[in-house]
Amino acid sequence: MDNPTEQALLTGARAFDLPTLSAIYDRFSPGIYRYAMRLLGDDCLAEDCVADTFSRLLHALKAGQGPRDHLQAYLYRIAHNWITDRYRRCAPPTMDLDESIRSDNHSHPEAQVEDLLEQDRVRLALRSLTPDQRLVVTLRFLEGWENEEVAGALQKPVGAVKALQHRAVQALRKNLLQEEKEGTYEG
Amino acid sequence: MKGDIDPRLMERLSQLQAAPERKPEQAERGRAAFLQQASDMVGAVTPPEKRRHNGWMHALPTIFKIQPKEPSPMFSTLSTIVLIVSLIVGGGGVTVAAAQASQPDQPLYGVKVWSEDVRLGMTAGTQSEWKLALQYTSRRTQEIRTMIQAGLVPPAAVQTRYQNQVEQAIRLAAGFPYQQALQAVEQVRTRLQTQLQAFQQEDTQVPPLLDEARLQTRQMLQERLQWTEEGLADPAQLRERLRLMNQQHLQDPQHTPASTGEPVRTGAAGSGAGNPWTTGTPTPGSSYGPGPGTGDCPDCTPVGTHAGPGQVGNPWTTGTPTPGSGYGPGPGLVPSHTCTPGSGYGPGPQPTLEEIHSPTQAGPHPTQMGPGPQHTPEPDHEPTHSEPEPPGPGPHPTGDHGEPGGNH
Repeated sequence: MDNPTEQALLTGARAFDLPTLSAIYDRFSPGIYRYAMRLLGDDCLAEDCVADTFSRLLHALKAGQGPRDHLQAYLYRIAHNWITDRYRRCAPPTMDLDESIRSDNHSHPEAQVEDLLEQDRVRLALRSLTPDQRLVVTLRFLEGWENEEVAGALQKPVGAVKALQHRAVQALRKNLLQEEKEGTYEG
Repeated sequence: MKGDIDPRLMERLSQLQAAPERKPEQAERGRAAFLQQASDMVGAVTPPEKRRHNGWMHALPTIFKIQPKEPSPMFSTLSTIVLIVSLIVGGGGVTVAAAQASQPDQPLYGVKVWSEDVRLGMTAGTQSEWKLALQYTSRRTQEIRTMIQAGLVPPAAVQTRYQNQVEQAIRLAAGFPYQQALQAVEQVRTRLQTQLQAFQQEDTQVPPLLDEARLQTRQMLQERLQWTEEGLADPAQLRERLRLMNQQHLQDPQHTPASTGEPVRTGAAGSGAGNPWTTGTPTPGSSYGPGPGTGDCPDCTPVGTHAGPGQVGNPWTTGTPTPGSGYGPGPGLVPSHTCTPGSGYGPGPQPTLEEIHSPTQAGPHPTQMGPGPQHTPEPDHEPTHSEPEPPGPGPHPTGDHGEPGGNH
């Protein structure tokens, strides 16, 4: 998150310097993959997301556009838009247990299934948020970004980010914790 | 950061934090593809071949052409329906708005009248209805005046509509609670006075037909003005009058208000022309009233010959006079009874005995009340009176011999 370095990377990227582009990929692609994987839950889709994100960066640089600063935020925003488009185009995926469950000697299959189901519930809850709310929640609470960094990714003031976060948390609480409470009552 | 969120919610969200690591081979493949694409683009970084200067011609269609992202049949159907409905409603609204300034001799006048009826019918609340009816009377006044000034005879339908709306305004005003009714009737009276003055100020020479129409309108206004004055003195009296009119109208709805069982004069005082609007309540000083009746009139309403208090009293009353209201049957032949000075509702000149015994048409409501040789018109019988009548307000056939509190 060193700004001068990021600025230097951007300068090299605009000149289509291959070592610089390679460094950008090595530095940011793992985070983008994780981000996509958390929200999509599918490694193939996450790979597609990473590939498209960096491809769009190249097209933007070629067109003389692209980020002036905050390269990381720019990349996350592209990935976020890609995932949002994916959500809009496709229904939530069904989970095939046979393929999803990985063998793990330390945990029982029942626990793994429970974990996968829980992850899907959280993904569905995140999917019910607006795109901006979803981006704020994932960057703040899953990626560990600060408000200022999220504001850079969203290109909005910090106050707006806080408001988005507040509404997102309220919605998630209603979706996840209320559901939990109802399940308790039913039980 | 974690203080910003409920720990239980954070715990749920942390389920996603444990994302599986990226497979190294896939990462390597992705990196290679990215660098390959970048190297391909390096060659293309050189400026493209200079475009011809006619590029703007190709750009023009894209400026004005709005293409939807995806064709949406539902949207197109919906937009078609909305367009048709807005055209119908908007077009109808424009027509109705344009019709508001039309005159009775113009094609859109029917739309104007219809829109008035619809608006009146859809108005909720007696107060609003009354205001609207009063407003429409001013419209009719203006229409009739404009037509007369233009040398056109106002159609009978317009005059009838005018009369109906005046009566409706009076009826609605009389239906309010007591204090409110007084104020409303006073407003109607003021409005009618203004309209009457507007007709009276037109002293231009007009052809006889137009003059007759103008006279009829004035007479109608004078008569309704008299109603309001009666109503101000005694609202119950006015209500009773309206109730009787309503009853008669219900019995014979085909009749216009001028023929709702009330005696219709065919001869206005002095003119000899028929006045379908008069119902027999002359206004002092209006040069309208029973003519100098002198003798036998088989169709006229006979008057009881037994003189008594009130028998030849106030000809304007049609119902039971309210004691103390200042309005009621006059003293008849008893000169000791005096009218209220300045009230204008006095008994008028005392008729002579001969006049008393002569038939009269002064009673607008040959009611079914009381004994006496009254002529009660049959429902289909409209007595016509071509005979001149005695001057001044003659005795009124109250049927109860003018006794206050008589039984109706």
